[in-house]
Amino acid sequence: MIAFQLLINGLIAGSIYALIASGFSLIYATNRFVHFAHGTTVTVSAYLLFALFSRLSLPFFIASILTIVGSGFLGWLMYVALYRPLKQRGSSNAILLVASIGLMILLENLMLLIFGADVKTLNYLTVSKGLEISGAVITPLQITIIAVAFVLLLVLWLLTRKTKLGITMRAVADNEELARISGINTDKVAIQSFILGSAIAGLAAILVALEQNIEPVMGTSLIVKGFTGAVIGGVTSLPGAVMGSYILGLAENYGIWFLPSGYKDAIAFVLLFVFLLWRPTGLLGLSKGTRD
Amino acid sequence: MGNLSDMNKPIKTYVLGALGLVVIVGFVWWSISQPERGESIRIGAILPLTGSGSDQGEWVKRGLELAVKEINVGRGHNIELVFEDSAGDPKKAVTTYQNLKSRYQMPVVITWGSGVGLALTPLVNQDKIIQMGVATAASAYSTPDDFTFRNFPDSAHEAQYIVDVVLNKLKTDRVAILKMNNDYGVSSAKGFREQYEKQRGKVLTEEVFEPGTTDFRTQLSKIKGASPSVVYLATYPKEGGLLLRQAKELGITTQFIASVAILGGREFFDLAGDSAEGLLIVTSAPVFSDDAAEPIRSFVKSYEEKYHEDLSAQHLYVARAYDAMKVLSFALDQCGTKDTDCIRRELFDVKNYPGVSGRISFDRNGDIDTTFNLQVVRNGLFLSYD
Repeated sequence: MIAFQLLINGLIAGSIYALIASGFSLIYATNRFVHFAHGTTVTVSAYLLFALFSRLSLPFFIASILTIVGSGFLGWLMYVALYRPLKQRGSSNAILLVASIGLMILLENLMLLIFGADVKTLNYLTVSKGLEISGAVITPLQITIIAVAFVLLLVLWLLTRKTKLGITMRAVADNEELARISGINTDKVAIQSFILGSAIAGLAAILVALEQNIEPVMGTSLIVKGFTGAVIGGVTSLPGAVMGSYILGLAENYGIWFLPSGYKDAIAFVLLFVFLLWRPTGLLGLSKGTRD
Repeated sequence: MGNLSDMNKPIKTYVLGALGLVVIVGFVWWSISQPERGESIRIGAILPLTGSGSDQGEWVKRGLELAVKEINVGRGHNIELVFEDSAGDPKKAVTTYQNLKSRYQMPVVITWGSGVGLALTPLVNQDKIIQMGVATAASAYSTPDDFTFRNFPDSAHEAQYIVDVVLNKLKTDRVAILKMNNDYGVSSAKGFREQYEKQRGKVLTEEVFEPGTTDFRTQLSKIKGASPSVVYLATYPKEGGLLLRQAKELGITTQFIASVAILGGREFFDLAGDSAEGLLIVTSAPVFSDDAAEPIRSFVKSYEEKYHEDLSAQHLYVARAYDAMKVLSFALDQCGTKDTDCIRRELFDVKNYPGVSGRISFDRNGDIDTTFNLQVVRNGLFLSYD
């Protein structure tokens, strides 16, 4: 019974990580730098939802749509206002990484300034005992989170395989130099992936806000877990990032079955180090065609 | 000659600049070394004014301000409080303390939190500054004959009471522990476990989570698997609220009994909602009501007049801070100086001071002895449990 409950717990955690990791990996694949502020995109989107739903009393559905649009816009803004100028000056990936950490701290503190440090709740769903499936318990919201993550994975997979947008993205991910020579506008692809990746973060924000509530520092722990999931699965590969996230969620949950619960985060980081040391491209990542 | 005066020009600038600097530094040094105006005694208060403990910080601040307002009425010397923000972080509190110490000649510093209190203990003992903890529960803070005091029950005393409740009121020996991994949670859980295992068998399972955790499902599932009848909970309000909500979602109907810190924030009920129903809470707070005996009645009246907020069990922090300030002012009056050795002696001599948080007597560890009572959450209110 407990094994099945832990499987469900692992799937819930994995789905949340996957929602973060897929957007992160989409941005990483075409831009090739670590956009750590991606977690804070989730935070800002969650506060946007809070403002629209709880303060302006918009219907939840409309507030959610506006949140996703808003987070896509934030992604565009971050790229155009910060990353593109830096890239055009020939900044190295290390500088872009530092810039993204700076952006993360800036946005976190901005949220702290506007909304305060206390935890915000949406109070949209009532808390009640979840559904019982052969001894394990799961709430409708958690089923939604898992379903959204699965559907999103499918849509993203189809997008990257079947549409022109996806194919150009993969071309840039595979070899930016070659893609540019073939006439692909790599800058446009970078913008598109920032908008799309951040919109996914907006979607994640809605679910995370309902499940875990909203506070200024929520993005940091989310991006750390999302990044770990992405590295395990292969940060350049969307299906890989999603798969890695589920592996992480399940490993954390089953690990604590045997180990004291204080080791939960340790499990995540040991996995991260193991993959960084022995398989830095992850399970499904590209091992060829990556630029230095 | 012309060349020489040209060369002199930058040198002149440097000399003037250096002189200016000396004047400025000298002035700053002079103004710092001046005796303070009047006879006001500055007391530092390092509280979490931002961050997740900010409700408690605010309550403590209000308690101190209420007390100081009453103390300063028609008096020769004034007590002036200097509030600084620790955000609940011991590292930040140390920096803040050093900063306060260099700015003022303060005989006393009032601090919030076990982590902060423990971090400052070696510093205040070295500097001979009295530290008064107002929300300091960790047993490690219990150090004999030094400069640290607290008007807050030691978690070991509280643990003894909770063990009594579990064994004699709830009458069960199937117990699990769920604690937060910080000074407060670890110390409280350790106290409980030691007392419990001394009197009865083993604790079924002990689970832990980090401060700031949002997903408690694994820990809760493990606890559910051990099927205890009572879960002892040592956590802050933010984590506690979310944890109880997830416990309800997982269909856990086990009785939770929480140590005092869960009372420390308004957000607790926002997060827990009706998942908090039936939660047992151990508190040392008296019943705050308009028809209570003095001095509680006047205290309730002046608080509610000033802050337009009804007092509940959560406001024990206001009362603890208020009493701490009153006792300190009593000791300061006796000594009439900033001689901290004298203040310390006077504090050790405080016996049966009738405070609004109960009677106060300091033992040689600087600890107080308190009576506890058991409360239960019904319809979002704390009611007495019998």
